[in-house]
Amino acid sequence: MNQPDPKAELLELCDRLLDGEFTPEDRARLEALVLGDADLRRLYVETLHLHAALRQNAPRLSDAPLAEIVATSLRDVRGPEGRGYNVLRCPRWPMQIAAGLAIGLGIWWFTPRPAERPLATLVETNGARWENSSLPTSPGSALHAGRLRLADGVARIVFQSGAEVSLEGDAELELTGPNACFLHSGALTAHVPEQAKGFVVGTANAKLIDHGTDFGISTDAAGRAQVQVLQGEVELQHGRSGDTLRHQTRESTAITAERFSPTKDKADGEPDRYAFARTTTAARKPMLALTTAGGSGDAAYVVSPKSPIHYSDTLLLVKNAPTTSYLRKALLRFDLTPLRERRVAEASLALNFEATGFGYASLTDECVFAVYGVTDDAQDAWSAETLAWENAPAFSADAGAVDTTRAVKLGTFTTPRGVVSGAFSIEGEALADFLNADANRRATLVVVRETVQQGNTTAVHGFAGNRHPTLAPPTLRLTLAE
Amino acid sequence: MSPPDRAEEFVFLLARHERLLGAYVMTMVPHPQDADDILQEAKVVMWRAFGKFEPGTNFGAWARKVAFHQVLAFRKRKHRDRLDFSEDFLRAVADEAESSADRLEQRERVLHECIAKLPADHREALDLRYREGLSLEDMAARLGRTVGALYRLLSRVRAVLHECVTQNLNRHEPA
Repeated sequence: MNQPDPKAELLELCDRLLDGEFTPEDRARLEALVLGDADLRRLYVETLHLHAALRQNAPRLSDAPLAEIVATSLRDVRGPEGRGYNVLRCPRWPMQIAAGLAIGLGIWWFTPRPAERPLATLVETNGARWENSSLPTSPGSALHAGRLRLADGVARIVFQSGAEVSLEGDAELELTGPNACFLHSGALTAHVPEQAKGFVVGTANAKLIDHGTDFGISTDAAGRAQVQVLQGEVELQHGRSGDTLRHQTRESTAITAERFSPTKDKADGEPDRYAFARTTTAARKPMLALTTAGGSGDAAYVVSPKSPIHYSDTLLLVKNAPTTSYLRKALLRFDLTPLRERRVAEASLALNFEATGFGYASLTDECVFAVYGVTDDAQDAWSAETLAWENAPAFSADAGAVDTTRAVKLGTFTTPRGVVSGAFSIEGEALADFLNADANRRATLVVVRETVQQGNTTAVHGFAGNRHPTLAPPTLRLTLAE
Repeated sequence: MSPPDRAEEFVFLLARHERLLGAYVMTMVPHPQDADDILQEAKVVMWRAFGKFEPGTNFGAWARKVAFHQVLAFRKRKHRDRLDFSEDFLRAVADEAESSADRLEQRERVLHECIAKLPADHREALDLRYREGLSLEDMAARLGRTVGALYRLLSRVRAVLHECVTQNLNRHEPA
């Protein structure tokens, strides 16, 4: 087929997605086709829906003899796919619905994921101080999938596979499998015995696969990381570049969003855990910090018309509970004139959250927040006094979004379940590009909570504005280009 | 309304919509186990939020909204993989699935007629792939065929079924 037929191309991509080797390039192409054409969008949804329907109708697919059907349904119940909720999938078999609902409901009211086995055990802790974690933190606890936030001290965790990890606070670790974890920030050392070869530590920019070693890894929240092999061999896979790298005893590498930078340790030097951060300091690039309290900066929040009046003059409140119309978004304006003509090479935005006292943190799930940059410079002239829900820059009635014809998304951050305080930040090229493109030297940002939580019992999130007595106001940290 | 009534109502509505909801999730997350996990989480969230659901309104649409947020939450939690669909893409697909919800339900209803018309070896291939969940490699070993041949076969079978369903629907209710 030489004629480029988008429909045929889309179906080929779907085949690769469902049965073959689907590559990142395929994904990009598939997205472009589906986003660009309504007919192709419809074809994609129908094709995937067919795939789903085939799976759900699987018991009827072949006209098998009765004996075989009985045998397979027994096998299905015992097999790994035989969780209670899978049985629910066959509403045309009334007995199974009844049984499935009884089992399913009975279990998920109390423990959401019944079939899940613990992934690891928290063996011991040393001077450990925990922040709100989604997992138990007393020694001896069985750990399921979830996050541990260790503020201070050391905690030793043994995975089901036998891999041993010592987590050093301040750190945030997510357990993702019986032989796998994701290090969001902080440092850990690992001892991986023979039977646990293949142990995986994910970080934002690269994945480490162990081949039987002792190693150390540290990362900051932005995914800049450092890996040291203490003994043995590890493999590193870079997320964006696709590069892979093998490291042996005493070798180490710094990981950034763009690449690996291998560096041999000095013969008897101590491992430099934060070498990735020092390379930027060593270069002594000029830095600049701007807050919403400086120059023509400002910080405020808007409240939807029907929302009850919860007021804070120190915190900027953010909430997204549409059914009850409890909607709040925060607006930030930075005065960029101190930049003068210099370009921003790297940028981060830090927000200091604090409990607002409205709603219960314990009833609040993990929440995703998004930061948008207002591209329509005509909308930068707002003031905290006259700002209202409808006249807010890049106004959208949706509390979790903005008018994207007037603003671009710059990044997101996530607050763990039950956590309403602490520093959270975004950084990246989108933020730097946005600041460089701003013509009138005043940059307005909108902070929204994408996660919808219904009801009035969940927490209202808040972060420090310009008048907080102790916490720093929203702050842009900029590294300037030469 | 007392709690037991609500539970009963929830179970009833969920039983009616669960399969459609599962298919909805799979349009965005084709991987079966991931889709199952998301559906499971969505059901928990739906039950917790069920007090906010107004009886008599569209349960399917409400459930899809909850499930969509679980898809996004799953994506955030899983962290970036270069194979992950973008949020724009997921939203576009979700919108399409939402506006086509009724038609997709009809499509599923006539699907079994089309499956019945398939030759036996095609049905067997679907059975191994979708009921037993075999990989193409395992299917190849079982059937004594090459992976490439099975890949083309599955592709063709899906295309045939898609066409058959479209035609049957047009026949049932001429446009």
